Amino acid sequence: MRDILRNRMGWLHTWVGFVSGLVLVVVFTGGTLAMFDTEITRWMQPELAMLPQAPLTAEGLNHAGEQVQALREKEQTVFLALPSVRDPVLRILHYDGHAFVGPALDPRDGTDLNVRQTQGGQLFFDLHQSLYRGPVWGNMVTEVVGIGLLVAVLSGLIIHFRNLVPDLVLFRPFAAPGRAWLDAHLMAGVLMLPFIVMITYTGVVIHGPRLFPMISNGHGGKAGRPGHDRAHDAAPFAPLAPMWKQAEAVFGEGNIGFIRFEPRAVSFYRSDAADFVMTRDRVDFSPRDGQQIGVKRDERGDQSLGGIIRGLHYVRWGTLGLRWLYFICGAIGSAMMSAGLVLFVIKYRRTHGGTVRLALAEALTLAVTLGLPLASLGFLWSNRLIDPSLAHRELLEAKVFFLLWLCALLHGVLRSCTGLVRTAWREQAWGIAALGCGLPLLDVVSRRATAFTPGLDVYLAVDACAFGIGILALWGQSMIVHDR
Amino acid sequence: MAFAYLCTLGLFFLVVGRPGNMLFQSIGLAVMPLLIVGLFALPGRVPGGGAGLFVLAMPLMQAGGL
Repeated sequence: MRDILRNRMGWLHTWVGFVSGLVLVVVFTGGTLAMFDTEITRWMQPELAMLPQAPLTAEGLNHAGEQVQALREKEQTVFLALPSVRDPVLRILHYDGHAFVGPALDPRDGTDLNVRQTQGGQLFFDLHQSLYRGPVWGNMVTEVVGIGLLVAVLSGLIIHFRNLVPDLVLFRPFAAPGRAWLDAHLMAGVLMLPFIVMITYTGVVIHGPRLFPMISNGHGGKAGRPGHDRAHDAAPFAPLAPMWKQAEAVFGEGNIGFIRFEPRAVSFYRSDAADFVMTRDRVDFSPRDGQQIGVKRDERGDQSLGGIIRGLHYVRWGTLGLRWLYFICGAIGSAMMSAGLVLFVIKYRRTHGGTVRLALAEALTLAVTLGLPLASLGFLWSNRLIDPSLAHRELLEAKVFFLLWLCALLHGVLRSCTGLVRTAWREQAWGIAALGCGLPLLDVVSRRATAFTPGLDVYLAVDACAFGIGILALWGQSMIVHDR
Repeated sequence: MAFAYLCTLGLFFLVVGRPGNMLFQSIGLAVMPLLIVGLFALPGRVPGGGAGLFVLAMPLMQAGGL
């Protein structure tokens, strides 16, 4: 009876794990990188490197308000993001279907800093939450694979329940290939179990209405924002600085995240970093005379449960140390799932070696395991190589990312179909090593003319991570060479 | 899986008048994977062809804006 249960759970874990895993590696890797999306965006706008950390001034905010007004007169829907510890500039942002993009302004006087346009770290955020496929289909797929991950975790727990403690300490990297991958999969899975369950469950609940559109309370609908009335959009509004001071009196100094401009109200929203519970509390002002209309707080009870779940998942309230912890846990989670995919193809090589189906599985595994980091590094390279003044360059960067990823997949298919899959792993590992180890050099060279000053900042952090991944890929390819 | 989906949906609608309640959504989405694993652990097969069609139809209807 026990063996039957283990067999059934084994089948469920293998197949749900593999099919979901192909998407989950992308979702997890994207989410891990999105933990530092703001910092990645800053790295991708090196023009900001020389800007000193300066507080927002009334003059800067009013000047930014005038620029927002000018854009609204051209019928553009924009909002204003205020400076924060993570991003010390004012930003006039609009949603381009995948990311919030727009000019960055100096918080001291509101002048345009002329930064290069980029989707930056938000590309990874979009990849994480909707696979860059939009809020309907993309969210739905990530939701389904999220449930798939919970199923795989539960079935995996049932299979290994009796050996959870030994699995936690047993890792034999120099054992036979299958054994080493299994050890890595089990060890990372057991070690990261609480994090993986927490982050997956909160993610699944956040986008739950996508899976159950019939219970949706607006989340899954396509309706526009309430009260949106284009005829009144361009009406001029009062200076922002006095409203900002009043809003800070309500939510606390430095706790205003962004300003939205509605036809009948200018709304100052509380920053996501202000509290563990993520809400959309706001202070509304009359656009005509700047008089405070009222303070709108999310309802307590049910809504605060949603806020807690969002707070746990997005961790925007977290300190730098906590975000690094999430980042490391996410990276280990991605590695665990990648190891699971590799185990699947190793297992089926024995029985299905040489078939087209296995070749495809091998190529897909390679594309998400090594192709994705390769494309991500290529995305960073493209940021520094594409002309900063080129129109719509942010779309070009995204195209480079997806094109590289497609090339990695085609390369995998080609090598798998000719029986040279190990060569494909080595070649893509070499690609990651070259791009990763070369990125710090590119950063130094490309910032030399404008703003290169060595220091402990976002540039060093991104460069060090890329270099580390490059070294890891070098080690990985040497392991493949010695692997017999 | 389709059976588990319908069970979870039923749980939501058992909460009379408040199917969008966050607490019940959270419970439902925790129950769903447990149900899938539980159903796979059962001997024999759970009939779910019709439910499968329903599962496919719902997201399609939503995506089509119906």
